[in-house]
Amino acid sequence: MNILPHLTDPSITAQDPYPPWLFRDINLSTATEGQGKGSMQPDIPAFARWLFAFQKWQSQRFVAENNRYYLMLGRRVHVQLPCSWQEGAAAYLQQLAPVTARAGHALTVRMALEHALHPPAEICTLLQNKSIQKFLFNLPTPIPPQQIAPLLEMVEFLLACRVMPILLGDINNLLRSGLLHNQRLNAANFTLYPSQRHMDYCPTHPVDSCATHFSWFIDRNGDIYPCGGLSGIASCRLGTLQEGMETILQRIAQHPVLNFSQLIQSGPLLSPPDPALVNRTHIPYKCLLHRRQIQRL
Amino acid sequence: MRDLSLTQRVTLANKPLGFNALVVERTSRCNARCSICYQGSSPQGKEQRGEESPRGGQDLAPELIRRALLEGSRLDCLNKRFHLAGGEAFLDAELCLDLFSYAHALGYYDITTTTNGFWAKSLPRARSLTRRMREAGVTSIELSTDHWHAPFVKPATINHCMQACLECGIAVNLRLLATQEHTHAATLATLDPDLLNHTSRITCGPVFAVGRAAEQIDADDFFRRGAEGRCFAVLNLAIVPSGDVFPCCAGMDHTDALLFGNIASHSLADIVHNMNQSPLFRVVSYAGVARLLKPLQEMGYAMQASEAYGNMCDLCTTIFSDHKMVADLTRYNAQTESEQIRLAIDYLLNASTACV
Repeated sequence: MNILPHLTDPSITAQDPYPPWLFRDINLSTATEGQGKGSMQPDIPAFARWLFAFQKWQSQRFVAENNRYYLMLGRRVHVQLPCSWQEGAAAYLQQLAPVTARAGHALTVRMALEHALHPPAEICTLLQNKSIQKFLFNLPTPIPPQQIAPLLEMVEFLLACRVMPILLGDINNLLRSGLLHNQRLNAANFTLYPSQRHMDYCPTHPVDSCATHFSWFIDRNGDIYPCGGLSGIASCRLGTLQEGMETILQRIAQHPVLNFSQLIQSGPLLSPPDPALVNRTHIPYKCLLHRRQIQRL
Repeated sequence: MRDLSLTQRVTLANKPLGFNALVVERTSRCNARCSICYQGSSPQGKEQRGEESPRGGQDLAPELIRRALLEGSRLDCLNKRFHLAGGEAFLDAELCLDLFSYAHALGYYDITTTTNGFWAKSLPRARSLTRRMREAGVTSIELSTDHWHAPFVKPATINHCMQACLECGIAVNLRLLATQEHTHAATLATLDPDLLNHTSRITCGPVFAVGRAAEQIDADDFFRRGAEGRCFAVLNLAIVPSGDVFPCCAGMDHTDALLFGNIASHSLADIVHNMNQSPLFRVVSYAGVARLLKPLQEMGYAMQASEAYGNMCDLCTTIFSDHKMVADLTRYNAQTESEQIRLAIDYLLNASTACV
């Protein structure tokens, strides 16, 4: 059965018969439910079941499709943890890391600086065991002076464990903090994400292919969206963690709102933007326009 | 390789190689002559030890690039990203625009380039070129700037480039390099803070003792991280100005002891097949180049410990620049394979004798 019947353009079908192979990243946007440990969502056992069902589907297709390379791609799981280690982040990460490793995927953790500092021993062990590939710190503006020394200490620990640090924040703030003068950091590969990227500018040519932006974006309810830019819009949902892979793929093939073939080839078809519209969000301008257009439907 | 797990051995033997992008290094000519250039680029082309290297000023013919783009668009194992690099590719900006448009028409959805931004001397000029780049399908640029680029491309030019890209929707990945003496902070302090804060990404890394950097930078100024690590997830199909095709663009593309084919005489599919069939390259990508240190030491080569190398690319470049070393490693691999087959046959014979 051709599960993606509308993808008839030869430039796509020659290589990309399954748009899901473009979904290289899995974004887990977690939230705490109620009080106490173990109350974070989405539920790890449900995520694990979905992940392994996806692996199984991939393996079956890999054999059926004459060993097509892209069906065996490793993926990156990004988890955004909204609370401190003690409030449940440590327990959640301890459950998530082995699930991700068993699936052969890399794990990236994202936390607010105040929550990430002083990781407990079990998290240090995960870092030392290379169970986490990258660690992203959301930096406040300004960085409180008392947090600079512990941040430096943690960055040095990450580098010693060969975990790549990523710093998201105001670049001037970072320069003032002295962090970028650190010898260990200058000796390493690391990435800075400026806090105002995507903001303020209204590009004249905002639209391009969405292929590089697709991810399995899973929210706190276990709902799955094709990217962070469309998360929370019910009509853009692809399914839930409880559903089988085939059901989700059918929905991608016959999605009533999103034409994936179009999105892969050239991005969304957008009406001309309001010239007064300024991006004050953390999503790209294209995604802002796309969201507004869908919400107006 | 006897210490590998069963899963690692199966991967090493069977998993097809995959590539994140088709990288075309069209020319080794560059308006700059940076002391850290791993390619040894200069206005005249590639230099080695201060002298022009053979075929150093040669550029890759546009018709060969177009053929590679067409063949690449049909390869399963290649992500549809086209990355144009140099030297400095924008020495011929019209050709760059033509190649971007062609790639876009073929269905490449991610079209990117590396440049030092020299062409953005004035803001109107920067706006004009970036608008045309965007219309040709460019999604992002990697903009190289640091202490060593600054004498050739002023910070004001980099600022024009960043601003023009922001205005037309091209993402900017600012690429910085540092040594112990020249830090990232020092480079960032020379650029417009507001533009920096709106840039898509700033990627920071250390300078490695490869190419011209090894000749011109004080050895004590390098950071050394060690050669551990595997590269199978970060491979690119890289075509260099001579037409030779390599599985990466981080150092091996400037070696000549292990070749897989030339785009002028082989199809990309055949070249990828050759890469997949190379036991030596499979060990490098799936098991890590540091695995080759022990056999080389056993063969009498004066290799340093893994920690003494800048990174895995540094060691990879060292090994694959040496024809004798590669020939010996190839022989070693063949012997190991024969030994494994003999052991397997002995095992099966013993097992069948036991059954009888």
